[in-house]
Amino acid sequence: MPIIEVNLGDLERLTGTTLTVDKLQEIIFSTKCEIDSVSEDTIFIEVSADRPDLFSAEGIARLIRTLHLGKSSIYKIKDGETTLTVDSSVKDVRPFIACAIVRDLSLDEESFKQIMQLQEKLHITYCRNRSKASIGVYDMDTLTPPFKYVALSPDQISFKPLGYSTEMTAEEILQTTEKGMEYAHLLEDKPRYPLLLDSRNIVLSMPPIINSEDTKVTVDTTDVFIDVTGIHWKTVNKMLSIMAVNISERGKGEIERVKIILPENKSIYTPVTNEKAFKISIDYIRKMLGIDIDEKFVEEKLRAHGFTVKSISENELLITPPFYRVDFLHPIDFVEEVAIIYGYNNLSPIPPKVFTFGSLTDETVLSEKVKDIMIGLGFQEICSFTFTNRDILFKKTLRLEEEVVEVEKPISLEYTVLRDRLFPILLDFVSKNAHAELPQKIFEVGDVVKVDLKYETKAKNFRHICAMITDDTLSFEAIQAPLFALMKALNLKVSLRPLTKPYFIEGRAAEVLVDKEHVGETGEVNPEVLLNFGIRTPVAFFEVNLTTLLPKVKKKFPYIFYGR
Amino acid sequence: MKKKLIRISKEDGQTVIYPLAKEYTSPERALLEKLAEKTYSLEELSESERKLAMELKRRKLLEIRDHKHKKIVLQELGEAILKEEVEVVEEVAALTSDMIVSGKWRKIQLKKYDVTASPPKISPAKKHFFNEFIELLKEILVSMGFQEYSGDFVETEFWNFDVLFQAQDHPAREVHGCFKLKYPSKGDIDEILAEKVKATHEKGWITGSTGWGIPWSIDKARNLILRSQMTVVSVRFLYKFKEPPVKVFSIGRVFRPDALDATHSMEFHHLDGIIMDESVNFRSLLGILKEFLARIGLTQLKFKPAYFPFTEPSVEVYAHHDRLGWMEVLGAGMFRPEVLLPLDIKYPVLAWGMGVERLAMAVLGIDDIRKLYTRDLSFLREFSVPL
Repeated sequence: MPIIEVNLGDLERLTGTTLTVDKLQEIIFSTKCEIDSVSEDTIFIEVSADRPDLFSAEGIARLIRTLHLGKSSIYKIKDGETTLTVDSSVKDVRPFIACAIVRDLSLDEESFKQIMQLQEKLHITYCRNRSKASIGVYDMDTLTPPFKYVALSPDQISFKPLGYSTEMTAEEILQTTEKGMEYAHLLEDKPRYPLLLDSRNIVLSMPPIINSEDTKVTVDTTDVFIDVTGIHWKTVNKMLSIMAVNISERGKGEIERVKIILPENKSIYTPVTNEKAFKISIDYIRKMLGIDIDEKFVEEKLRAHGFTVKSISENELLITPPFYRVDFLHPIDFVEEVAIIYGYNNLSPIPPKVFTFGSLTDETVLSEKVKDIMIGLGFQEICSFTFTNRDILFKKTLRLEEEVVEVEKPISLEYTVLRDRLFPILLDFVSKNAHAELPQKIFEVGDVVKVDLKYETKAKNFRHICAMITDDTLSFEAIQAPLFALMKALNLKVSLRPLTKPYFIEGRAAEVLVDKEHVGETGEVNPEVLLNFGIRTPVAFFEVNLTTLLPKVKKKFPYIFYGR
Repeated sequence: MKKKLIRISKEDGQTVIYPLAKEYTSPERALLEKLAEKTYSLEELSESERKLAMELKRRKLLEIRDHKHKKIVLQELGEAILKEEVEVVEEVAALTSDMIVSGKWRKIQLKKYDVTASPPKISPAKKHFFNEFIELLKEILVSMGFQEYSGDFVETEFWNFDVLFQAQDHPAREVHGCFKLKYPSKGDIDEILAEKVKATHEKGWITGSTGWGIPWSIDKARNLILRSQMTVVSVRFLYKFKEPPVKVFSIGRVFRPDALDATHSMEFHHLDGIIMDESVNFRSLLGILKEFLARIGLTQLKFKPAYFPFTEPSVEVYAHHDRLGWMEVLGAGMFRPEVLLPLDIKYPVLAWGMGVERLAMAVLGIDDIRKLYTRDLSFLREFSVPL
């Protein structure tokens, strides 16, 4: 979720009311936003990802005006004289453009900062780091309309990029400027680059890379020209609407549409603000929220929040959301809007009267039973991460490398794969407790993950138990006895069959069999493995797959399992 | 001390030693031999033997031990009692099976202990305190009539995101990140369900939604990841069991690419609960949350609007904790129609999810998430669970 920075004094100016941090905190809490931190007059607000119209102080101010002061925000949108012609050459590189003009602004450093912040936050989120759409704002006084949007071959492009005092070619801009290097990949392999020009062929910008120095906005700018270019029309138009409406808060709240002349000789005025209207029944709102809300309340409140509301029949409204909102896809979104206006804390909780039977899964029932027995046998339960690495799973244990679940971008070299066995994790635990009192008897019941391409997700969880003992001296019986005790307590008959594994001492390891089926292994750990882990005392363990054991236990204890 | 036992002379420039006595036993040896046969007290030795004994003690050839004598003198009362007939009783420290069986225990006196003294330290084997907390949560949910369900760590993006109506190219998908798998990398998808999900994402299908208006890729949906929340387990349940009433919960590990520090972990537990029934609404969602939180001791609550891509309306619950003040404890909402209809679910579904670690830390008074996964056996042996 984006965190934006606003100034308390600026918010007071925009809302025309006096605010304190506490007051603001209270208002913000009743919205989807949240105050992240406060540093004197600067307030950091975590803004909901579905409300890009709130990504700057102007949006937050609009929210405060309606929620706290009950004042609606009305914007005037009119078609202007200014035109922009789209050349067919942009079709293959960045086909869509929408523009608007906002006049009579009085900017200062704070409002200038807010415009930049809005542009940047939109770029990062909805514009997908400028790949889907990108935004430019220019000082109208430096420009001579009409404008054109073209794509030119890079060697035909040369202008002074923002922040530089000399003219550069397109290639120089991509190779030497900071923004050029950051976004060059978006124009990679394109034979022609998009360019925005005015009637004198002054370059406004080379989207989505950089604006020109000569057309930049300063605190003295009064009229701005805004463009959004991109590859997805809805996003382009929405980003323009949000930029224009929030910037207009710094002037008279008026937006002048620009006529976009398309290659097919069609033309449209942007921003396009004819939002889809939704039919919503009051009963639907009542049913979803569980309140007997009044139709008049819904109508009035939504209007105050900038919605267009028409009553089309008894109990049914036709609602159009404000043109700068992006969070209305379905009638249910209006239900939430009404709930927020009503106030979540005015909705009294009622316990649902749904009667059902509670139960635990079979794995949980068996795991808890096994844990209880292990504790009775004097073993301390431990809890480890599922994440581990190949070094612990294979190299140190001398196991042959097997396929394990591996992530693409691990957060550290320690955590790269998911465990497919528990005993290496327990050996690692023992290695970190050289100074703890002996004997050490530990166990873990947890999931391991095995790759198996026959499953839908190509990997499956298995519940395992591993119990481990270390002491000055050990015998095979030290681990065999608790294993047999556990199996006996589960009413299972266990037998052992000699086993050879690199991590066990030859002749001191066995397969664990229940009903002649392999369910696990037990044995004394090969000293070579112990030294690999830096363990100086003998270790013995057993590891049993509880998932394979479960059906056998279920047969013996049918009455304790009741899961579906 | 000259003992005149040898004579040393110089002859032809060489030093020659002549014995003077034929037999000799040193007094030291004599004393050692004497003491080897019997122990003497210092007083029993002669003056010279005492001197020698001190010398031998210095050379660590013998040891002088203090021997205490205590005189027991009968007092008047004792003398009086003695005149009567008394039994002699033996005092014994440890009671043995023999003594009990033979009846000897009746004749002996068992020594009295200082029962107020501290015993030697032993550590009981215990359940891990964090697992114990998870068990407590399960117990509460079962007591509220919820049925437990579980799933696998490895999931497709399809179930983890797409079924939950998180657009493939939208900031909503990045509310939190996820671990993509290097191996295995692609999973299987139910094609019929995928068709419905695709139509819903692109244009809303029959859900009454506009959809996201962006093309949906089945190839991206096939990507395998580690599940990043437990809601995926709940929706998989609903896809299997579509008839109400349903009250299901799951508690399990989820994975997000956060570096490990005191408050973040790449792996942690989520609790997810859902209720599906014709009768439920947003107020009953608040009702079930209130009841659940009250059962873990959180009674002072505040409800806040929130955004989750798969629920609408959505709510975040803040609870007041005695030590930590107001804290965000869970997120909840009603599943969006865009989630329900492709899965062929015809009734409202209430859903909530929460991070278990943060709550456990608050309840257990632990300030570092890494302590829940400690590798320190002594800490586990000594930590007492305030549950």
